[in-house]
Amino acid sequence: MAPPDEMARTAGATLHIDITAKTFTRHDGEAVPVLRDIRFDIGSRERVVLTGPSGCGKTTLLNLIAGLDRDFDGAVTLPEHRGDGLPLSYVFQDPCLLPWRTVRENIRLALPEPAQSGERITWLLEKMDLASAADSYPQTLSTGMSRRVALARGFVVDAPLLLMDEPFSSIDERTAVRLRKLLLSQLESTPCTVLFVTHNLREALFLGDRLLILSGRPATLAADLPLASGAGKQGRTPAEVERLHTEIIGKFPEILS
Amino acid sequence: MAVKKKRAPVTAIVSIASLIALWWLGSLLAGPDSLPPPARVVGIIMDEAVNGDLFFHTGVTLWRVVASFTISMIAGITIGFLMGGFRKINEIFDPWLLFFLNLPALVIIILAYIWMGLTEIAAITAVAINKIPNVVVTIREGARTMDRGLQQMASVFHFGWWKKLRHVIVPELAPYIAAATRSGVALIWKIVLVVELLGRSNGVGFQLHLHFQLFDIASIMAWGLTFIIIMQIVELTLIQPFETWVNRWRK
Repeated sequence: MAPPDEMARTAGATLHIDITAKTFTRHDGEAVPVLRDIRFDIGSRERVVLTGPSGCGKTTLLNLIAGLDRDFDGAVTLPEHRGDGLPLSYVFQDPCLLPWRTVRENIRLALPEPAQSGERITWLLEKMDLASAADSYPQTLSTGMSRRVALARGFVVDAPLLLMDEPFSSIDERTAVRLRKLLLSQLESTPCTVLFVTHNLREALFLGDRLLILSGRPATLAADLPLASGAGKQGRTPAEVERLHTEIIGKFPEILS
Repeated sequence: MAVKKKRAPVTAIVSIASLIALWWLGSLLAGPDSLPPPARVVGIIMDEAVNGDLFFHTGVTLWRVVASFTISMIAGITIGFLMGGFRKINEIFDPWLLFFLNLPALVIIILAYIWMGLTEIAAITAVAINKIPNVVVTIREGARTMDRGLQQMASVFHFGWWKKLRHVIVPELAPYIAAATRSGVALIWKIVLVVELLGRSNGVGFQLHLHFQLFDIASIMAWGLTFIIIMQIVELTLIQPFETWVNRWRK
């Protein structure tokens, strides 16, 4: 028999999304439909990237999945998780670190029971190249470092599902390339199901096994494309990214360009 | 920083010394009966310290300051947090807040004494009611500017109420709590003196009342000076270290 942890990870480890409608109420009281008829499943340890024009509702969708916004029609079924663990982890667009806590404390506080996790935090700090900054406060860090702390916090809880909302936006491309590689290497040592939101199609194609495109007002699922052969442990090569980029832009010129 | 720390006391000492010099000059011009010289006022403070009155009356006043400060901070922070965090609560209670903000301190004190008698509870309640609206306004401002992202982060990582209070809400409100503390202490001890003057038979306010009736200017100045010194000690040993600690994570 598999150990209980492993069972929880494999049995029913699918994320089901079935959103009929999500509406925001504007200040003048008028209802604005944001999302409509979005249905998809994500299998265990699948790496799904979600893209679409900015302001189309990508973050709204992630917040519905994360349970931050429960005011919608439809249902979200999360993968099963260990009784004492978190059902999901979230790397936000803004790093969302507590400025009055050190790097180590920020990571530690994400854990439901932080007491026995000292070694895991130290290991993650080293993997993310943050060991020397462990006792620094977030305001003293560079943007790239803050993103790495947010990434480490996303991984420390070891949740079966990881939501990421443009975690590498608004940083320079060289740092972003490094962070993407760091993400892939971390996913190799702590595999989980990933839903990664980005407006950067090349980033999506570098990382993803499957591409979802959201578009329209209200937004619907414009496409659900399996990306041939998967991105693998290293990510796709620049040549492959460019080939897929041309192909997909050709298919959806009005949405993505 | 090192340069600043060395310079600040020198400037402060010169500044205080020139104030005392001005006072002394003033007493030469106006005559010692209208404006008693510094030495005489300090002499009275010494006498009161020796016979024990100084410690008894300032102690009683300090206890009233601490009691009403504690009550008004706890009530003010709670109400301010709720009003800043929930729009409906703010809409309902905003007119109440305006009412209490504009209610003169003297009216509250007189009514408290009429309704509750000339008691300790009436005195402390009156001071607290005077201060609560100011704390509410400050904390409400802080609660309004709280970062939604941090709230979402706390929610995703399943922070319980205590963990959220300790690591998110209180540190975020800390600068506002510090501001309310500073202005609170300054306001409260002045109101406490009025409350004592009107209806208590001990404390610095009572002493001031007594010497007012005797037209004893030197003693009035002695008691005033004593309290300024005590509040300055409170500022240096409690409020400033607290503010430094609250802001330790800032660059």
